[in-house]
Amino acid sequence: MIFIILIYAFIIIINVPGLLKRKEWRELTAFSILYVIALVLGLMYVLDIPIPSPMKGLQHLIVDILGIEYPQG
Amino acid sequence: MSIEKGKISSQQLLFLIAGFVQGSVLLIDFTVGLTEHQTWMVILAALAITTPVVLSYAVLAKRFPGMNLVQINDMVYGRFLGKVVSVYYIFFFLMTLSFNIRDVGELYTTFLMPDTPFVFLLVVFTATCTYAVTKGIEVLARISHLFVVTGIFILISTFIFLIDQMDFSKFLPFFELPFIRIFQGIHIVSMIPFGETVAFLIIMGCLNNTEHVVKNTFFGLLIGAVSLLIGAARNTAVLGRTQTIWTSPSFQSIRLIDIGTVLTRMDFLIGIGQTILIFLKCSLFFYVLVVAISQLLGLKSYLPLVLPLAAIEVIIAATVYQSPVDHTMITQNAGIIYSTPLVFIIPPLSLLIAKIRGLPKSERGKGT
Amino acid sequence: MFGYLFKKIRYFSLKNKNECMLQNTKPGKNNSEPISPDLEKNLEVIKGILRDSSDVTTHEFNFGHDRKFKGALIFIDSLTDKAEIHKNILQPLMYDVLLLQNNVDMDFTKIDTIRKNLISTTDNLKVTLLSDLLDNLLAGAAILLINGSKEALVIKSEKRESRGIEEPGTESVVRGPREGFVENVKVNIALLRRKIKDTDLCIEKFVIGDKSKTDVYIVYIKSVANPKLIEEIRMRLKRIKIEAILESGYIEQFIEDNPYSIFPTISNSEKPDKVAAKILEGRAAILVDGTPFVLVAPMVFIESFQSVEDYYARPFFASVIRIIRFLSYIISTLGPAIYVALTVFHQELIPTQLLISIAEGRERVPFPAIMEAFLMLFAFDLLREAGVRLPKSVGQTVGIVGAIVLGQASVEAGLISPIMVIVVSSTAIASFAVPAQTDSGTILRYIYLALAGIAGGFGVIMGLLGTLLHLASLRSFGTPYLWPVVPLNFSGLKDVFIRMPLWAMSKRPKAIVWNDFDSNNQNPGLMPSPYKKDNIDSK
Repeated sequence: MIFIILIYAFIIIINVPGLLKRKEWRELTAFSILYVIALVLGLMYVLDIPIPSPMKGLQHLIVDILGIEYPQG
Repeated sequence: MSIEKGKISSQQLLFLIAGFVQGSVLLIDFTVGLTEHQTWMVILAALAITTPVVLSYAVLAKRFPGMNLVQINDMVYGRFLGKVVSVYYIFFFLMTLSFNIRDVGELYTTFLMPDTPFVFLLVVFTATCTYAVTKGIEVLARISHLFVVTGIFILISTFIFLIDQMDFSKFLPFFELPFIRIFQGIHIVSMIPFGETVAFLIIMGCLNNTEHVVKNTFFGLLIGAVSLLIGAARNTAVLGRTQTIWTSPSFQSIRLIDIGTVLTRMDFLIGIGQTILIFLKCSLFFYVLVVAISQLLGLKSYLPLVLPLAAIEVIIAATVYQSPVDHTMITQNAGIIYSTPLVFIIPPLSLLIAKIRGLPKSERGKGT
Repeated sequence: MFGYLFKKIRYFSLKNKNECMLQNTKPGKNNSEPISPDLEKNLEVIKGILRDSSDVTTHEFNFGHDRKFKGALIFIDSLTDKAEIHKNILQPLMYDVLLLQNNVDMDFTKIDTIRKNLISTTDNLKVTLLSDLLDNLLAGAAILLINGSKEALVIKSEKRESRGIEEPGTESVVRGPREGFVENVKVNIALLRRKIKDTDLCIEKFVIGDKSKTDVYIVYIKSVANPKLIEEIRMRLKRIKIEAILESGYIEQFIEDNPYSIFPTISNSEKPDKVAAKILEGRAAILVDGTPFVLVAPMVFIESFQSVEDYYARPFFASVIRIIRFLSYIISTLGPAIYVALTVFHQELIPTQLLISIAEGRERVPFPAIMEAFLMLFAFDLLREAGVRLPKSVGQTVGIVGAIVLGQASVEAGLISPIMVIVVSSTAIASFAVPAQTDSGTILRYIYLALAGIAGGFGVIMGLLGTLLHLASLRSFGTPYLWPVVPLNFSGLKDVFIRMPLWAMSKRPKAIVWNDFDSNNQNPGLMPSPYKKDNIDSK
């Protein structure tokens, strides 16, 4: 738990002051969006909340719905 | 307008591709369950099928010099559809990168250091990849030849050490397995080592001179494929039909090396070699991912995105599959099917459309 | 609380801005007034500026026929050669002038007249500004002031005590010249000029440092060195704003490419033959007054493994020694890390027999292997640091104490396992084989040890990859740091891992000189061979 907080704080400390000083708003917004996603995922991971796996969704989509599958031999 | 200020030379591209393909040496082990002792055939067939496709990437890059994949998509498919295609690619890069990172973790937790927590390995590995990406493509391109030489050295030396234990009759009989399995094997091999070179469509945008792109791409692919072939042949020749028992035939054949009771139990060394090669592959993928996203969003530099993406990748890699078996099963089915259009269909289609529409029209004043 | 934080952040940002503005407008000592014709006033002004220091000597005298002219000589007692002043300045002015015929009308208020006709030294300079006068005075010159003249004459008559030329303490060789640079930069330049007697050897002077006004010289060969390199060095030297340059290390830290890296990108040396060889390859040397360590830029990583002796010895032996040097660098940085990784994480890689003896040795040790390794490395670094500053009388005793107490007794008391002592001492000895990289080697050693302790072999591999990436991204004045290995260059490789014979290495390093001319070829195809019989008259 403490590692997550340290690492995420570290990420902010490295990136944000430079972006603010150079007034790169677009990069800052992109960074913030990705950072929030990462933060949410990280907290979910640490708090043992199951994270939905995209590949499971894809597997479901391709095999069950579209029916394309290699025969298990 | 490109984000990356560094330039790489064609020769460095050759080594990058070769090292990239070599990074999948242990992935071949996962197809052994399907194709047993015909893996070498599968590799050759996959090479034959993918070569024209990969060369089409090179021709595409030559046609649009200095432009990376996202820019090419925008030009060929128009603003909206191009962005949709790029998002599809980005999803592919995201997922594949997490698979590769997970591979490293599985490598260590299964064979070499079983007691280490999985996430920790992922974090350390991703941290080094992040460092590589912040340095830029130039640095990676400069050291690529070291990786390729190391990879070739390891493969050839293990091959030579095992010659006395090889029995080439284990390759027989040919064509024993049902064709559907061979077909799936060819599909897997052409997607995973060779097809992932679609990522190079972004890196080719950094070339300083696109004259010899096609030739260098071909040779890079060839060197990588030959490395895979040596590995597969070694495993088959040493272990024969028993390959399917082991989780990793490569490791098992290395464990059988015994030169004068001094050079024994060298599986860790191949683990090191494999880690180094996957490192190159992951760093390149990571770089491609970050540049693609920044190009899509129209950012000036990709550096701020690197760390959050690294964190996202680690967590996806840690949670996407429950176990290595899950990984193998899903990759062999859904994993390759959803990415087939990206590798086989879209780039040649882009090339065709570009030829028909006469792109790029930069001489006539129509810019990006 | 947020208000407090916010105010603090604003305070710091404003303070930064203020400091930047202040620095730009700080007035320097502005003594650039012209010299006044009135002698008394001049003397008072000068003494006032020099705050009446007791070693500033002023000597007023009259000279000329009928003793018409008044002059004064100012010099700093401890810096000048008084005999020369007496003989070459005062004597001609006060006595020899009387040898001139009386009707010769020379206006001795003009400095030029005196300078060209009377003063018998060669190194004279005419100044009109007070600041120039003071600069030269503090550099050890004698100043001649004439009543009624707006100019002054600077006569450079310094006498400088200097160490004699002796073997450098840090770089001894078995075969080769035992000359080393000294603190006097003029002597150093002379040493270099004796090695390279070429018309293209350029020597450029800079004065750096507000209070120390140190002489800094750049030495290079104009036809060989890349002009962009020299221009870059010039620009960086001009950019330095500091109060005093006490040693070339200051300059190194101000002009280097990567201040945050642990690897040095500018090499230094005390030996003239080494520096001369580097200048001939197209590099530039930077000599700083007051230190025998001469900087040479650019530097590549491989240079730390090359020593001058390699070139004086014959190729096979030199190649073997160079390979040994590489191996010792690897041992010195990776030794403890590999030991810890193997014993803690990967016991299966150690041959069984060795494993048993290691286990026996480690049985009684209370610490985990990583702590043990850290303690031993720390103790070794302590010893090394203390050893440098030991008074010679105590040196012997402490050496024995270190060896016996720290080594033997600790092992016998069960604090440390014997294998650890072996590992650390071989690490220590190996670290001295590559002198240019001892500082980076020490830091790397600790880093790899920490990584090995955390993640075993995996950690060491990641550490090595990280180091490789870092090294590959370094550039030293435009030359990639890992040249010729990383941008692969085959002709450069002849001198990296082995040393090919001198007659086979015919080209200058391409990444230093950056041109493709054939003038790079120094001596094409000169493999030695015995004379053929036909060339000698048969007996």
